[in-house]
Amino acid sequence: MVRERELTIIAQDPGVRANGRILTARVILPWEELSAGPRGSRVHVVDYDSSTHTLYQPLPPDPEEGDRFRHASGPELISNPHFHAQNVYAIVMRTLQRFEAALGRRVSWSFGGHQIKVAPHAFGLANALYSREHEALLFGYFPAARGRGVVHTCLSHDIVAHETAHALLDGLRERYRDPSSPDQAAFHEGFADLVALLSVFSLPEAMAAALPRRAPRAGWNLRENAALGLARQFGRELSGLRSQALRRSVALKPSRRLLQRPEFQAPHRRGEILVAAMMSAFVAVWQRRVDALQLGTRKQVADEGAALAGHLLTMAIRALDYTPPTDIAFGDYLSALLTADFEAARRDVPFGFRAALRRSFARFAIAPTSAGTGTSAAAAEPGLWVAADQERGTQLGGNLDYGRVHLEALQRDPQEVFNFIWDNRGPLRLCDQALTRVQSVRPCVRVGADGFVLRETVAEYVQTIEAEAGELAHLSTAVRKPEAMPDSLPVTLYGGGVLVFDEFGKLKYHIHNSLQNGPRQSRRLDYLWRSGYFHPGFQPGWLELWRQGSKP
Amino acid sequence: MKPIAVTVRMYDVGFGDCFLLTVHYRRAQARHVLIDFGTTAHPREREFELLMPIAEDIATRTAGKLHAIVATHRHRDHIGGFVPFPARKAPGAVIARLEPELVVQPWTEDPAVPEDALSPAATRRTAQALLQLVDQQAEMHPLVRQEIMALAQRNLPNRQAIAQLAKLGEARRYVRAGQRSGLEVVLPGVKVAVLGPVASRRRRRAGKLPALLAIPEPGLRGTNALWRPDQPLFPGHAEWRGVATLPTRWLRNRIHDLHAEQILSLTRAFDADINNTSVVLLIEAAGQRLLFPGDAEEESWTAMLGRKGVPEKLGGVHLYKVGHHGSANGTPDALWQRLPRHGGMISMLSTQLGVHGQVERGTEVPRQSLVELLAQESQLFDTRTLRRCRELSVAVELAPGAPPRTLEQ
Repeated sequence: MVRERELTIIAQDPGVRANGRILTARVILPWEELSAGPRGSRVHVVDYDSSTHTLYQPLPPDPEEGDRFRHASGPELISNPHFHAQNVYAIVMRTLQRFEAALGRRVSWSFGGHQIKVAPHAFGLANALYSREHEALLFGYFPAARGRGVVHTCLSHDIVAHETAHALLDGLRERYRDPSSPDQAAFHEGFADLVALLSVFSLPEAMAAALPRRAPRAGWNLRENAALGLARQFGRELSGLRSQALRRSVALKPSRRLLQRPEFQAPHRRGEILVAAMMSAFVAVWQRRVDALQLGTRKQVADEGAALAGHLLTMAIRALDYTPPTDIAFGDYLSALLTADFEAARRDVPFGFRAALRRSFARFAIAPTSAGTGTSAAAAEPGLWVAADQERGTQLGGNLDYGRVHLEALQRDPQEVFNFIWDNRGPLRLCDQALTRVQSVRPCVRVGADGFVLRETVAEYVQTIEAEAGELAHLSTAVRKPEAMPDSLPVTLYGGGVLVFDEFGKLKYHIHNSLQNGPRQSRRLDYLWRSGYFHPGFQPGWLELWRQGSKP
Repeated sequence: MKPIAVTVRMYDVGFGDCFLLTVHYRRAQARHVLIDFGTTAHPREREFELLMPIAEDIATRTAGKLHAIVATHRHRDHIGGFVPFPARKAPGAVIARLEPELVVQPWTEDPAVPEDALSPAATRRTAQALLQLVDQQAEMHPLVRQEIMALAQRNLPNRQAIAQLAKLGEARRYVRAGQRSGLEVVLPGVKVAVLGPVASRRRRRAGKLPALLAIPEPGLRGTNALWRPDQPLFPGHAEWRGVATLPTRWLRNRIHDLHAEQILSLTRAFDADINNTSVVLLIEAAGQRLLFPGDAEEESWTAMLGRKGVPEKLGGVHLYKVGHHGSANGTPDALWQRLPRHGGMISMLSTQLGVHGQVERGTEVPRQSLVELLAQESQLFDTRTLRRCRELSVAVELAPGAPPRTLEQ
């Protein structure tokens, strides 16, 4: 029997109260033998404060009675650093567990080590951040407004989940931090915010606290009664600094013009659009379920909302396996969302999330990258990536050469995958002039549409070309450099793809941003040129740098 | 009265700015405007030693009469020289005796503006708190420490200089983008466009800095029992202070590094906020366009270039005072793309290497690659060359239909 550990966390942040008490929740995590810290196989909490040069005593290993903070009072939770250590450990582990369950495999940190270090009181700064270079999540603290004590960012569920999501996304798609396009710059922030929101929303305790005690006479209007109420609760403790982003995301009114507006070219603001599109779909599905099931009580509505938030969170994470490894655009992510869910459940029932997502994204003028023009009726659902065996014209699936491939090696060996890519560089339409590297090969377990367990393999490759700007016109990709760009300027082009192999080692999907897509490469160079990326001493604006790590 | 020529003289003040603009008329005496007068030399005696001959040179060249002063912004390397005492030895006293008619400053210095995040009192609190933070961080890398301290000290308001500027001049103008500077009155026939500062969200953002730096609100420290920046948050749980044990040492050192970087990035932001209050002037005289941007940085330029007609005007600039001592942020790409190239422009750079930023981080001031670009694409004058030749200043005279003429000391 699988052993579990149940731990108390703060459901949202200490400013959110129920009956005058800090709202807490209990989360269930897989059992592991913890050392003091807590220090487990994936997370090591080190409570060191660089502002005061203080190391706090680590949380001792589990006591006999289990969760030692189950009955602790609010003031005790706030004033005991051992609880802070438990809170960050539990939220980081819960987020990690969500990713692993959704993807059907272990998920690695990007830095190669096994244990991410987490410092709940790293410094006296109103900031929290993930640092790949430091292999750590660091949470700051700062004085509350009007002298009301100290605000600990490590006690805000959304902040901890947000930073953990950055770390996990970085482990799955390391090239998403590259300068590329407004969408890619925004994706990291938007995705981390999405994980943070859905992580909180998936707690029935947090959901219930945001709902009116009694069902409204006119029936539940969840956008008004719940989503905005929850959003308003974010950041009560945080002096209204960064938490505005979460609040704005939920409240953002759909418009097809938002993506073009100047203020939404900045990564953090643009990320809000992605979150808004997802949350709008969430509220629509939730409302439909509440109406269809005729849910009346607050508990029923909250439980349904929490379950749907958990489901959407799984979808959001699972989609990552179906995103191209470089230069992501919001439309790519939408196609990935739809395809990943289609692979898990061929029919869009009972929730209808795919239809809701299509509608919601369309209201923000985000169209799926794939037209979904597969040859079979099953794959003809709009927006899905086209499966390898259904590509019109190319008949990719039928033209592939598996002669040198050994199934066992293909499921875990990057060299074997590279052999496959090399032998099939023609049908896969790879750029022959580029350097190609297989970044990862990840076997994963999924439950198929028929309920049987499937063992699939997801491999990522990246292609790069380093050239001088003047040479670009002569490439087979025919990339146009910005007019004013000097011919001698060195530039790097990226492309890459994800290869999803089925349980028999046959290619199921090839999801890629081709290096040979001249218009896309030209657009990217133009964006980087206009952003001053090639200007001497280019640095992102300070606010961007700060927001990369900033929560408040 | 129609100007026939204009001269811009750049003085070597080390790391700082001092420019004397002279407008020549056919049938009238030349008129003079001093744009900034400061340095970051230490200590004060050394500063006087450096600035006194410059003040005397200005007095000589202006024949004892200065028509206007432009104090672009509050930083010491721009206004520190105006301090007028001790009366005999201070360069500021020499300048005061030139009886300027008009003093132009950014709107943020207007005493009538209510105290906000950019007011001298608020910036003093932030700067002092930064110095205190640095003081508490014994582990901080010396180069990072040096940069934070330099920036923080630069931002300690120069109360004496500010007070002196408030007394100088028969008229004072506190300007923002689009307003009249008042210089048109003292410089007949000259057009002056105030491009910056653009009144903006700068004030709100700067207001957040103390909170981001975890600096308690003034007056609350005594009442806030939980907040003591120099004491452990949870004294009863402290295992040790100051000494690292093996399992945590790896992270401990890295947290300190990252903490220092965070403080540095916020300090730079704080500094940039003040830089972005710079008065930015586009002066047109004798058919010549002169751009004096003070220390305006990228964000200020983004706002300025977003204003109607501004980008077009920059295409015809004849002389560019290189912004912010040659930092990459001072001449952002968006500005650089609009300035004339291929030797069609004169650029004047007042700077000193080794005061701000680090070469290995690509943050050095002046940014080497920018200097190379300026040298390739414009006719560059650099105070570092003056220093090597032991010259006090260099001037360029611009007149319609004639090539620029360099006037040595």
